[in-house]
Amino acid sequence: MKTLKISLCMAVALGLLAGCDKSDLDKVPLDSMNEEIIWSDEGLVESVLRNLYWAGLTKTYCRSGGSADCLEVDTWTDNVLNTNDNAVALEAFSPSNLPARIGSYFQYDVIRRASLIIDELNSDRAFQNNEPLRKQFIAEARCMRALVYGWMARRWGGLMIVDRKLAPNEDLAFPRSSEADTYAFIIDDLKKAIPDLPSSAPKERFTKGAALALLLRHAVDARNWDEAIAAGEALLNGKEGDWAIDPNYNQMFGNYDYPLTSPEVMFVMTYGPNKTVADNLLAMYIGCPTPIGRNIKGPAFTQATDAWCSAHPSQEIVNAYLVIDPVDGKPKKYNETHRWMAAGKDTTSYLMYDQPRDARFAQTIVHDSAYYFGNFIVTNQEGNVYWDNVQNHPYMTKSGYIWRKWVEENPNRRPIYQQNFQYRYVLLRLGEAYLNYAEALANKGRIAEAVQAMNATRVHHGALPPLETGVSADEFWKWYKLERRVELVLEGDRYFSLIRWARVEGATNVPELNKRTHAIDIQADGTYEFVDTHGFGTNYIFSWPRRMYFPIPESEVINNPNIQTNNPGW
Amino acid sequence: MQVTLFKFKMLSLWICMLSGFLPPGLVAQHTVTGKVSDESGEALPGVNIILKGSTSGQVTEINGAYSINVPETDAVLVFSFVGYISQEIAVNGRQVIDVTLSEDLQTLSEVIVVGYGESSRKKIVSSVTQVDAKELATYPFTNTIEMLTGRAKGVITMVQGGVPGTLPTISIRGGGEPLYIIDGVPATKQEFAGLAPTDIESYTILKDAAAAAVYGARAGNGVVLVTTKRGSGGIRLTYNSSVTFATPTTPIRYLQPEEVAEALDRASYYNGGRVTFMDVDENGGLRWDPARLDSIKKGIWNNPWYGKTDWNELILEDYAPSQVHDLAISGSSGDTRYHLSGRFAEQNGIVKNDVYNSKRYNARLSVTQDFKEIGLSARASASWNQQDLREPPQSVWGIMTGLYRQNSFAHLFLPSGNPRGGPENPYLMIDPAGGYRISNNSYMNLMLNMDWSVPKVKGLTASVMSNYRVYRGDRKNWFANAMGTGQSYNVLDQKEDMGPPHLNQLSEYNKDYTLQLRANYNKEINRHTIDATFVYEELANTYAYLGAGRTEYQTAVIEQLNAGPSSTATNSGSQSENARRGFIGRLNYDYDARYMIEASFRYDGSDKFPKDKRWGLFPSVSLGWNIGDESFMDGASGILDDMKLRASWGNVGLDNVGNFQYLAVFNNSNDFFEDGAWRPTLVEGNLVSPDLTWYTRNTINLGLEFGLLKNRLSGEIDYFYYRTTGYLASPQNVYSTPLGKSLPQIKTNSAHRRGGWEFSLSWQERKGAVDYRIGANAVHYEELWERRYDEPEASLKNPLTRLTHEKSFYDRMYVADGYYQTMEEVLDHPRMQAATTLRPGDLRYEDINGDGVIDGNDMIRQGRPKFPHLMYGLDLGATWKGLSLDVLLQGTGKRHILLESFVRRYATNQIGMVGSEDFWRFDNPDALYPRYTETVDINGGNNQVNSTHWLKEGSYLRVRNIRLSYDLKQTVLSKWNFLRSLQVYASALNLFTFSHVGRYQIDPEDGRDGDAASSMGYPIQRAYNVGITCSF
Repeated sequence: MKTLKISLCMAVALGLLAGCDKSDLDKVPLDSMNEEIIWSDEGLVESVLRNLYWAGLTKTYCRSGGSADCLEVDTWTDNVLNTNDNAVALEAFSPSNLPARIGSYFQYDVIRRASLIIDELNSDRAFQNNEPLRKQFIAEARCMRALVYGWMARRWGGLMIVDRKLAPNEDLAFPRSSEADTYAFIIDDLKKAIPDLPSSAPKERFTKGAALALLLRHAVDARNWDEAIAAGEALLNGKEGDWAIDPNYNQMFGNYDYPLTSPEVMFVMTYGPNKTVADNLLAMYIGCPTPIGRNIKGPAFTQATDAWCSAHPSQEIVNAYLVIDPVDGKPKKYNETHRWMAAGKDTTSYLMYDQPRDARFAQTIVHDSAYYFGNFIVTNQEGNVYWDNVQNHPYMTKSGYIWRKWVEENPNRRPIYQQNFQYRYVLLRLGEAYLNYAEALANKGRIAEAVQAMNATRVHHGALPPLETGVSADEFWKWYKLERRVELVLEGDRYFSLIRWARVEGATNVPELNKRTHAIDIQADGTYEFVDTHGFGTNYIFSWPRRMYFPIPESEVINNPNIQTNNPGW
Repeated sequence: MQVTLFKFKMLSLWICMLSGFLPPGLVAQHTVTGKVSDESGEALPGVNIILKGSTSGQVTEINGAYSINVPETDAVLVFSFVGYISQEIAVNGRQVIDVTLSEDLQTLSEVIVVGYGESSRKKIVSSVTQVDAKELATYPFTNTIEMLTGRAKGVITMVQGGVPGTLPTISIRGGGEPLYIIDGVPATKQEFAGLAPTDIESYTILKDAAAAAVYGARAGNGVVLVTTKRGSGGIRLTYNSSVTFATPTTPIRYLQPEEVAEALDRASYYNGGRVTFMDVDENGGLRWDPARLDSIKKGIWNNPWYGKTDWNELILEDYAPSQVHDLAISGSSGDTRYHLSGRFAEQNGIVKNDVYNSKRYNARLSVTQDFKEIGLSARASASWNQQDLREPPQSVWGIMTGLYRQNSFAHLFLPSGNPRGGPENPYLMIDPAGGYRISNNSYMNLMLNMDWSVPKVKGLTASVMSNYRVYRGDRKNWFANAMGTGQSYNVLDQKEDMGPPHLNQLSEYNKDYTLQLRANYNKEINRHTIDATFVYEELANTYAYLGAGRTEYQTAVIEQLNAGPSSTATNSGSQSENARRGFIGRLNYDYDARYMIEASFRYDGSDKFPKDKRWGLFPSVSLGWNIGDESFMDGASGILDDMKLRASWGNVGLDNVGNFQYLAVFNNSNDFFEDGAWRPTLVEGNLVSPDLTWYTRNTINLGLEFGLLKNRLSGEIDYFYYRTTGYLASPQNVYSTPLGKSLPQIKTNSAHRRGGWEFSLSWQERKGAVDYRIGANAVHYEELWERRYDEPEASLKNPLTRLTHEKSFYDRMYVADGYYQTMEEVLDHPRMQAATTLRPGDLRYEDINGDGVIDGNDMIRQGRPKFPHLMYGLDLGATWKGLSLDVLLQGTGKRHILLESFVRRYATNQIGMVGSEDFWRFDNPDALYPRYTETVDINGGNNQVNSTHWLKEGSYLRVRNIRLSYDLKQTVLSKWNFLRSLQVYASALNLFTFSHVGRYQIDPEDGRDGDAASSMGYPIQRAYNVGITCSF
């Protein structure tokens, strides 16, 4: 009887369990969302859009650490004295060996994120209850697509244009479009977007003004002066937002909070608090350490900072800042003033910095006998930041100058390796837009208007006397190129501007990119010399015309049957 | 050296619990005496004699004599001795019983645990290796995986550096991570590694598909089965305790201060820099000022930045102590068998201040009850194991790396005695005031197993097994300042700002549930035996975690979450679940245990595939022939006693792909900061294919087993071949750049082959009072891809670089051709584009494709893989009158390791260890390292790129274990009747190592998991232990 009971129980149990149908394998992911529900919910779509911003910016302009474009691109020019080999400046690369510092050619994942939003929000699946918002999201996605394509076009010229969400089973061997068509696509995306964008928004998101500034940038890159002038007029007539040149030049870059209220700053990327360490951000790379007690010469440091000082302002950029000659009130090169000429052979380094100078100089560069983080800085051979005078610390300035731009001299927000930090990259601002507008006008022969546009930054940021509107075209270009160089230093502009100017002028060489840059080496008595090496300066090599573009990766040419050749010369 | 005090709390607790179990006194007895000898009449000392059904026992003395008290009635004595057949003898009132034991040569009757059942050595037709764990329990291993190294034929292990708690990589015949099964239930590697060695009865390694296929999808790389102890015989109480002292196999040797100074000056002088310590003589050479040399030697040189520091003394203990205590009670009483055990193990790190400490607790209870009247046998078992780990905030690896980068010329302490040097200073990293990282991991395992012999159907058994396991992990990382180090001072003796404290906590759990329903039918008709098994199995699992943290603490006084500012609070969490199902069938048939055939299948269901692609059927077949049993072999008896041929083929299904790769989803991604706050973002998941389903691995195994010379010499040779086809992957050989996503994972046309051989040979003999054995085993394999989904056409076209259809190699890299010795050589030789400032002393590379430039196309396949493809072990042992000695030698065939950047000592801060002064100079053209440069990336990293210059032969031979033990019961304590055995032992782990990389001051097994390069990390340890095991 007992056996029977047990048999019964076991039989029932077996039956129950073996009868479990196979549907128990129907597990679902608990931590991700089914694609079906995304597009009908405006909140979720906004999260997808924010991811596009994040991915698009962190892969292009705001790459990690010292590779942020504003610094990286300038290290390929004479604005910077490099101390480590810089494969781009050296032209030590090839299609099979592209240094990461160029940035990735493979941005199509970001393009896809943008196209996905544009296509899905234009489909039946999109939320229907808020038409303006739906259109705004589409417009923002177009702006980001344009931003990424523009970033790529500057480097590689013509690109494969993907204007929709692709399916894996499509023919993916796209041909490359011409450079002109690529820029036309970018301009078209932006022009379609602008009407649907808001006039004001948080500065991490696109507005009409920011989109116009981006349009101006790339229309000038495309040498499409008419589009640039049209965008300039739209932007600067004040109807597309309340923008103005901000006289507080340094604060736009030297303060975490300030850009949000600056009338000039139009678009930023913010690394907010608690999620980012200083090691990933620009300030760590351009700041200079002031380690208390470690300098064996010069004034003692009183406030400690601990950054890496990995790229140094060159003597060439220092020389580009104009001096207002007190004798005749005219802006000149530092060594053309009456005082300098009078000093003759007896000039000392003090005179280099002692003349009334472009206001941006002191706001951008720390020179000998200036203050930095509250420390008195002496760069001469007996000084506290002279490269050989700090024990056990290889990270000191090697050019005699330190970057002040982009560094917040706030003792409570010092960048410390692997410690929490917050940072704001200014990506689009009105100052650059004015200069782009000026360049477009000048190329159309409208010199007087171009001078006026250029004076916006020259006068308000540089505190220099305005250039007279009656100057010749040659005269304009001379002053304009200087103005653009100092205004946009360390904003990743000079390299592309030099190439653009060479193309417009039909040049056969870009001498600025084909030389060594210099440091200043000052004796204790103030006598000095410009040197191009301490055993660590590097050559700059730039072959024209092949450096008009970077090569695309060799694998693209091999694997895509519709791309038979690389860029010319590669 | 400070040894932590033994902690007897656990022990005393156990003793209290157990005192109730001790047996009562016996009554109405008489004494039996006698002598035990072997077949040749030689006396056998140390033979166990137990009164059946009781706990009382005795051991024979040196002359084989014994004396034991037995009750008046029904007494039966059991005589047992390792290597001999046990005998049970009824006393029947006799006073003297002499016994002759015969040698047990029939190891073929040994029971072998296989998947979902048991078999015998004789009838096994697939490739299975069993390792008896009992003798290994008291070695100073830190995890159970090391026990298999060099002992289990076909198993290859590689230690991943010496960080306590790091588990070795384990591979069966070169395959990936095997499946771990503990008492029939799949477990994780961590849970497996954390078992108490003293609880393990045996390991079984299932190697070919015929053996492993019954476990389905996860068994493609073979299976490691563990069987735990269940208890039998009389009550037996065993206590084991040992202490271990560990020290690096490769101690750090620093240069003297003056040697560092000289090397720094020579390096700087060559590069056109200034000399700081020496003087330049009139010929442009460097020479010492004797007074300065003397003061540098003494560490009193007049400079606050240099001095004399003995880092080994400051940071390291001479020996890292650890201790183990095991207590077990096992036995049977009536129809009940039981095994209870507890273990406490404590391990300390090699760094000072006790900042590293690991405590592991194990407890296991197994009770088996037979209900004979209804044919039911039930086993309930519960086990618990917990590890409490305390580490400094900086990883132990990081501390050691910091230590390897120091030099003795450094100046560490200010006149006040305060340390300086900032967060890179290992002295500050081991300051307990810097904080801690604590992790507590526990596994709880509950199992109920019932076997029921179905009445009236002889041979039919129905079984049900259910198992519930919970893993729980808690982590707390407290940084008392942002650096997690002690306070550093600047040269003015002011405190340096170390940043505010922060805290992170994480809790995670994993719940696994397994159910097996099994029916087994066994029938013997004449000489025909049939054994059929059918199993239904289901597994389900849930995982979840919850994390929280705060930063910017105002003070380090309270180490809790709520003490931090709420504005910095962050948290995280998620959950996931999985399930599997399987139907397993197996049929065995043999005729007279001479001809065997086995066929099995598994119909396997995995939740990784879309609904209509979930199930797959995977069969296997194997055959065996015991030739030795054939009548025509009778003439060879005594020479060739046993010989078996076996062959197997099997097909295992693999589902090695991420979860839900068939569902289009959006995932959470990095937050985006907008309008003053971090906002969540969503990103499109992988592109999906509806065609995702099983791919397979075919296995062929051929084996020969033999026993010669009365089975004294036995051996086994296997040939194996695995071919895997259809890897689930995103094809890389289809152009897809504009898509902006990887192509969906599909069943690719990739195919991979792996094949090789393994053998084992052992000789066992008793010569007089000495028992000795010699065993050897080895495994070797090669592998290649017939076709690879991830090799694009461009690479495939180049025979120098392609990866497809090429046998095992290390990696593609540049081929170094020595150093440039003159400027002419630099000018005449192709160089890398970025190497614009090459000088003599830089590395020169071969222009493989002859295009006049050194670039990626000159990187070609080089070397042998880091993971050993040939591994061997030599196991020696001898016992004599209670004294036994065991030695295990273990080594690898040719393998290569790539030196990591820390070991490439030619750049800033790399001068310090012995050998680092050997860099290139004109007067040192055959240097170990290139010329000294300020940074490693000079010249576009010319000297830093991976090349054969940094690729080193990594084969080694180790004396892995030596163990000497002595059982006092067999001699001096033989009169202590209450005692069954009292064994004292001493052993050493990694006592000697022979390798090619000693000059770089690294151990051939240094390195971290997955690292291509061999690194200077936490050192591999040499350990010595002494212990005692007693049982009553």
